[in-house]
Amino acid sequence: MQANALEHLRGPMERALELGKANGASAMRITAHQGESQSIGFQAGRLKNADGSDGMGYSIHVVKDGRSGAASGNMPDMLENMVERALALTQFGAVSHFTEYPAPADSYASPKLYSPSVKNLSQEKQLADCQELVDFLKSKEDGLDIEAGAKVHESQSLLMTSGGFVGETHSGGWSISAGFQRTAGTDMLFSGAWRSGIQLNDLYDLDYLKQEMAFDLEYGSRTATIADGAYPVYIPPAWLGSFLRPISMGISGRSVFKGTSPLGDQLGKACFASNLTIVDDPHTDFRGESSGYDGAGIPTIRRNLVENGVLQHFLYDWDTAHMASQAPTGHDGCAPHTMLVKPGDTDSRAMLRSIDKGIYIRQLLGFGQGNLGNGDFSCNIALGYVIEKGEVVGRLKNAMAAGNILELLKGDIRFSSDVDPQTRQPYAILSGVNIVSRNA
Amino acid sequence: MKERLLDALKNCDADYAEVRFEESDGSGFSYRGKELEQASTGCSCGGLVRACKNGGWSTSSFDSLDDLPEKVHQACRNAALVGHEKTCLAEAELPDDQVFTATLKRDFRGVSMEEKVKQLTAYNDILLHSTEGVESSAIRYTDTFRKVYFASTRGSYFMEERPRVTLFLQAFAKDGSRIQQAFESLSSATDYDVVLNHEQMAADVARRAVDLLNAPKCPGGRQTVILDPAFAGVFAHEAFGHLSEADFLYENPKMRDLMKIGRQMGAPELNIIDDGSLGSLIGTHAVDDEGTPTRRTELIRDGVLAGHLHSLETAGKMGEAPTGNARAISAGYPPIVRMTNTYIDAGPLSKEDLFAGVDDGIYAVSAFGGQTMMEMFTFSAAYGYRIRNGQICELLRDIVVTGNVFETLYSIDGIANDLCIHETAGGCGKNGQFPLPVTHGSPHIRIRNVVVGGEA
Repeated sequence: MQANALEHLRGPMERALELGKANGASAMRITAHQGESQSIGFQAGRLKNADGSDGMGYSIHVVKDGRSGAASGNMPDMLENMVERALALTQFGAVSHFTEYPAPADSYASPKLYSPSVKNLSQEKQLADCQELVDFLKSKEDGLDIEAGAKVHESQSLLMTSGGFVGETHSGGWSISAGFQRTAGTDMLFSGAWRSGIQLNDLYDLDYLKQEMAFDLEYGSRTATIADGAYPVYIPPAWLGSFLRPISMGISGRSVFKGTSPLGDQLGKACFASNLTIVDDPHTDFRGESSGYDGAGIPTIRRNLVENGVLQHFLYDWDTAHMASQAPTGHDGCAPHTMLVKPGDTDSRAMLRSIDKGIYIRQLLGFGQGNLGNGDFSCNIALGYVIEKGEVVGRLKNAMAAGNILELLKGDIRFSSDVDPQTRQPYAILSGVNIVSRNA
Repeated sequence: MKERLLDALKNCDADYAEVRFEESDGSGFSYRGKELEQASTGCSCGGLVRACKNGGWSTSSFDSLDDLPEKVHQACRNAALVGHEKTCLAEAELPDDQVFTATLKRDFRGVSMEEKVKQLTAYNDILLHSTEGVESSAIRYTDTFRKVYFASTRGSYFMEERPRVTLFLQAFAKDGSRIQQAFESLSSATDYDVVLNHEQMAADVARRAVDLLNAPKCPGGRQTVILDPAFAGVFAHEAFGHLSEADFLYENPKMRDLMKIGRQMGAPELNIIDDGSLGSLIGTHAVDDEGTPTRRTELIRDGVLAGHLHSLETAGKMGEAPTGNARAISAGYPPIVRMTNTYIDAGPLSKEDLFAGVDDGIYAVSAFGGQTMMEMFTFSAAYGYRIRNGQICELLRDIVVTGNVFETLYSIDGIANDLCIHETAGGCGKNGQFPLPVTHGSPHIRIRNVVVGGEA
């Protein structure tokens, strides 16, 4: 991607801001984005496709006479027309709780979101690495349906507000993945693993991907049953974030103000177990979720959302902050940048060994289809294992896990001392999850 | 446009190549609580070149037709680097008509923003004020008008207009920290007026959200479940329909064997159909995104596996006829094998017959969502009721069922005669392409020994 790929839009965006102002907009924001990617894919154990993508787009938000309108497009010569369409929407449009965007702050964090090291990841290396993963799976077992893929991407974005804020971001990264399907009669086992990053560093780890899939190849070969009931479940880092979604939904300042958050009256209260601390960290370098500012130009800060079980903050974007008479917190859509759980003091393997009878969840199917905002989940354990006396004894089939996450997080929960470098999350044990299976 | 697209493909040295280009325009409004939260409009264009050489594929996306020649060259060059076998694509008849304009009874593009917002405001008032205990509401309205242009090296060309309007109504009720929600949604490809006259539906949504606050959770365990047509339609789509998509089968010998035509799948009364040519539904098109005319495909006939859903490649490699099921959510994505309008056909029983056969069970109504991993599926009902002695009793919440599709299809022991096909505001997701407009339908069906999640 060429440097300053959006430079040609800077002038038109400035003129569009002027156009909005001349037509009565009291506040206006334009965001433009240009991105490109290249990917390869293996299907059925062989190279199948090589794809390239590039494109641009922009979005416009205007406030006029206390009402807002939004427009989006991808044709640069239509920019002014789309400003006019956004302005027209304000006649009937949404109530805006602010009239102006803020002036830029004195300073912003500037986490690095691009590393030139990704340029060292040639398509030839990606092909060779995917082939290595495919060959590894082929060597493990005949008859697997094997997939693998790799991708590199790069993008630039430009944000301008009528408050005078200008933000530019250059980001990029890589990803690699592999997976297999084992079919035996009507029984199917799906497993896969992936890694992604911005810097080309130790995260790019083929051995990790092999280990993850080898685990499922080995333990997925034998099945096990468990009587219906409530059990501790061992949750890997990749799934811990999903179990925190009721909290991230509940601390949305908009949900709190609209009365749809079950945590609305819990600020400052001990509403979770005392060993639960959750950190929102938008400033770590080379993390896709990092940003120094939100869409209004409000600086972001690192903060504990939950500290020792006590709820610390609700999150407010610029509009919601004005609606709820709160200070803006630098969160677009009132959503956290990260939900990182503070590690515990026991190694993850020792934690697993401590479970007398329970379930190791590797994949869930349909996790978000319940009333998750209320904390309720009820979903299929797509890939899970029965744990007995600290050992994984076999795969659990045709089973569902259910419970209320907000209640479970008040109870006996444990977190590992080791943290997954990809997600920055520990392993966890949640106690008292209801398990129902067909084969019990 | 036709000449421009075909010209761009003229010097292409791939075994097969196609260009899809799309122009899209639309608007959307959303309420959340008392306030209209968003009023938006969008206008974009873009396309994708897809080429196949020696069995290898490559795609290249673009925003502007000015870039088309270079993108065709890129895709052809990369496909040649990938492929190392014989290209095998089925032949498909070219459509007689090449321009498929939409026929809208009332075109949403002619409806003023003021009128749209006024209608939504009226619904929102009902959601918020018709029932005591409603804490908040959500409404989403969208309309989009897409024009899709297509040309391929086989000389085929089409332009199809694809309009869609959607409406989603939701209410939230709250009692202390307990929050429940209820919703309804609808969609149409033919008429703006389908979003009108749903005042009673809004009132029902509000009432149900409040009622669910005091409804008990569905008991977990193995249960007899009667699915209403909306929920059973999702079952047909999620549990079986995806398994019929031949891109999951064509390069996997074990899956091909498992899904062999002629395999007994269920009772003789069971018939499942996918029909992309059915009426003027949101899943209906004249042609798919490879230019193949859509058609009716029997997937299960009289309880026996009768067909698969195909793209040109899967049909070619499986030696079957293409079915017109290669679809993409927009021009930026490649077509993959997808469903269109999928339904369980009407059976011999009355709805009353089904209930009369249940001493203790669950009546699952309307679908909240669903997912599948081939043989394994899970989906949740929006709400439901306990059945006792054949009678519908107390309201239940949090009804989620799961199972193995092969076992579950065999466990269907009753199919009613009240087939209904639903056009909802959501869509189908696969390989990162969501939401694709599809419909699903069914009569009431009864399934024995289904795993229901919850406290045992």
